[in-house]
Amino acid sequence: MTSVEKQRVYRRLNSTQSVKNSQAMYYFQSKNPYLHDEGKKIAWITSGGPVEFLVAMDILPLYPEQYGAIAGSAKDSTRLSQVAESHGYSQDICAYARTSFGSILSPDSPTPLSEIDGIGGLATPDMLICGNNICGTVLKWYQDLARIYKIPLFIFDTPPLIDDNIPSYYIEYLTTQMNEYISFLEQQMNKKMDMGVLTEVFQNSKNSIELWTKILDLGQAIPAPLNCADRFLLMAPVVSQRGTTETVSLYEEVYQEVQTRVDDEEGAITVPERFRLLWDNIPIWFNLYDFYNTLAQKGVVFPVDTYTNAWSQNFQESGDLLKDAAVMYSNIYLNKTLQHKIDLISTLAKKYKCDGILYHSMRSCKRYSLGQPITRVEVTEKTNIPGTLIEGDMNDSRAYSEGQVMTRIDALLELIETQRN
Amino acid sequence: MSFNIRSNILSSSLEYYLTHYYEALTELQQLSNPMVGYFTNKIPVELLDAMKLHPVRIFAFKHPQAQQGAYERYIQTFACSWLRGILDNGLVNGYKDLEGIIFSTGTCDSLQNVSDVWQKVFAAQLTYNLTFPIKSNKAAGTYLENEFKQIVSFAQKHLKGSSDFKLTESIRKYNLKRKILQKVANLVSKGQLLYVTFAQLLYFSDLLPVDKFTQIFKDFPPTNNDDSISVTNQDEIPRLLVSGGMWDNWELFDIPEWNGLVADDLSFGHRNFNYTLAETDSMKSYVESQLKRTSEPTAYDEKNQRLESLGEQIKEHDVNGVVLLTMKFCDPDAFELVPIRKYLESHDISYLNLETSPDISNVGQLRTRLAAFSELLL
Ligand code: SF4
Ligand code: SF4
Repeated sequence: MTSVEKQRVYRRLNSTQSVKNSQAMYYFQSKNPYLHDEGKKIAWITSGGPVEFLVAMDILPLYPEQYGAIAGSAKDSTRLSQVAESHGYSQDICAYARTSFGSILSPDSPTPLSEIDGIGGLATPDMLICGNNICGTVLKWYQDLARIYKIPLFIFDTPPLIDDNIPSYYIEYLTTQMNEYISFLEQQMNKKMDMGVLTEVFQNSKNSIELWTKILDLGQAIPAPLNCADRFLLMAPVVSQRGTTETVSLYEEVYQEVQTRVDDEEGAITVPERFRLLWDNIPIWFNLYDFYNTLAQKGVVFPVDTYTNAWSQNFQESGDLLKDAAVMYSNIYLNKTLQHKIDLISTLAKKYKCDGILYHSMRSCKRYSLGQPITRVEVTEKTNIPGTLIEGDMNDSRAYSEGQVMTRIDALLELIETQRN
Repeated sequence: MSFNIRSNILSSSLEYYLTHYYEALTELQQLSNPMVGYFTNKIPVELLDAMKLHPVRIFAFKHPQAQQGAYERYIQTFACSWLRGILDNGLVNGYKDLEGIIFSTGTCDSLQNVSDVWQKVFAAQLTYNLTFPIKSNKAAGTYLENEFKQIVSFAQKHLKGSSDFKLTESIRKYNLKRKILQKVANLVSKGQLLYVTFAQLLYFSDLLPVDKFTQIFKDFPPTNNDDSISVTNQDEIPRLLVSGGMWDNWELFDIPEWNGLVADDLSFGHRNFNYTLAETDSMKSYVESQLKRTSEPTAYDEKNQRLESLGEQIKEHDVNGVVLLTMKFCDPDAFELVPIRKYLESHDISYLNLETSPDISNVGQLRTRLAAFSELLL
């Protein structure tokens, strides 16, 4: 590739640096050697787990999936996956899980979490919180973590939602678990949950999510103010720190900057926007900037994706906090049917004026990926927007062939071009 | 009807049925109650039977007209090999003999997504999604009781389920079936029946109406069974146990290298007959009894029983080596492998991991590895 081809054609957001700094501080705090003396503990939690309860109890939540993304972006995830494989984990299981096991089992130091993290890897957990609202894989993964660390594990069980009518006994089951969750945490921390604090934390979460949703909404503008890589980076706080006032301020800053871009008609890419594509699934972390930059050079921008959109869900306020939380935590993208995915992708593709859809078929994540061939056909039938599947993985570079992927994308772009003429 | 366990009449009769599984379904459709297909060992078969429905297990046995890889139009190649096979078969005739299909959630991501895909591909077929809790506490019990009530009303409304509901009787029948299978498993352990025949019987028992099965096999094995006779010379071969998930191809076991196989720890083997349910008409008690079963480790081993129960089986059957059978692209199998290996290593028990798919395309390699493993154990 020549230096001209490698040229950067995306605009950096200033507020990205604030997000990075905030994440660095967050991870820095997790390595505080006096954390336990200060009455705090560390929990590892799945990305769909009810985090607000931890924040309210002075428990620092850490996300092995987010660690996977960090290691992926640092191009260290394949190595860590191989470490896990050398300990008997199959190459066919989720690469986030393999990256996580690899980081625990690695003889060399695991990927640092930020520029100021000297030790690398997530701080050792005191407890584990697992919500199966994203997939069944996390159940096996966390059960194994519990065996490795010999620490308590709380499972927040959310059977998949088969349709939009959530039966009352379903909500009751989940609400009871919210109460069980509180008791579990009280036992771990040896103190009572302050429901006032919990309500405040939920309010912060709600505000963060609302701001995040507003930021995503700005993507409807032409030219698109944010590309995939921007959103994937900016989403970190809404995943891991959404219950804090800091995240609210952070997202206010991001929102202002993105709004200014929209007002100034300044796009996320520096070349004219020719193709607006929707991205489905987790990104290719180990190739994040190169991938989107290479496409941006062809005028391809991604104003919307299903992954960062999954955190735009908000909760209704019925006056019963635990019940509302129960509904919110079950009513999420990956806990719903294929039909729901088809409907959502169709809506988003239209709303964000997309010309095409890229479905990242990831062997790592069966829950997200299996069924995409049908989704592709049905979404196109519904919207007349063409799409293509590309094969790859978010963290395992061995499952990714750039040549093949680019050939497929070129074919999609050609099709879009032909349809235009 | 009586079977001589040392002759191969039993085996060849069972083999005949299993190799003609799809014809058998068509025949049963004429003869038995309306049939409802299912995939996992969590399905409340007693409930279905109580509504005069005939629950039949869906196997990955290759349909003679199935086109390998036909599934690829709908689902990717990294779906578990078992479900891919089932989709290929379904695409031949859509399991047209079945009144409907019941999916159960809380097993794995592949099955969860395939249930969605299935409803798209076989849109004309009635399907139901039974959503299982993965916990077994009181709240989970209340939830499951409601789910069971829902399926009853769905089945009565759409699947020709009878409202003349006799749960106790159905539980009794299935308890008897499980008891028969336990007795036969004992013969296998004593070396008086080859595991392959037992596997055929297991699968056959999930195909035949439960009344028929219990009627035919109620006196099996014969009581005048001579303990001194065995089908193989047990002194010359090591005693093996096979552990895994939803394996369903008996042909895998139809090779001499498995002659020392004396017990299993499989979803549709031991884990599907090692319990007795309370005989009751109350849905609540039925649910409680179901939740007391050893947890199926496929989704989540809530009670952490898998390793303990494996250890007990190894002792009970005096096993020399364990074969860990994993299905290609089955996440639960792949995850379970690691703690099981650690457990076996810490208890100094030899093991061998065999990975394959329902079409056992690598049978040659499996045979060689099994033979080498057995030699090492001697
Ligand atoms: S299987 Fe998919 S949803 Fe589950 S942890 Fe892995 S990437 Fe996330
Ligand atoms: S448990 Fe394994 S074999 Fe069974 S459906 Fe799931 S992935 Fe397939």
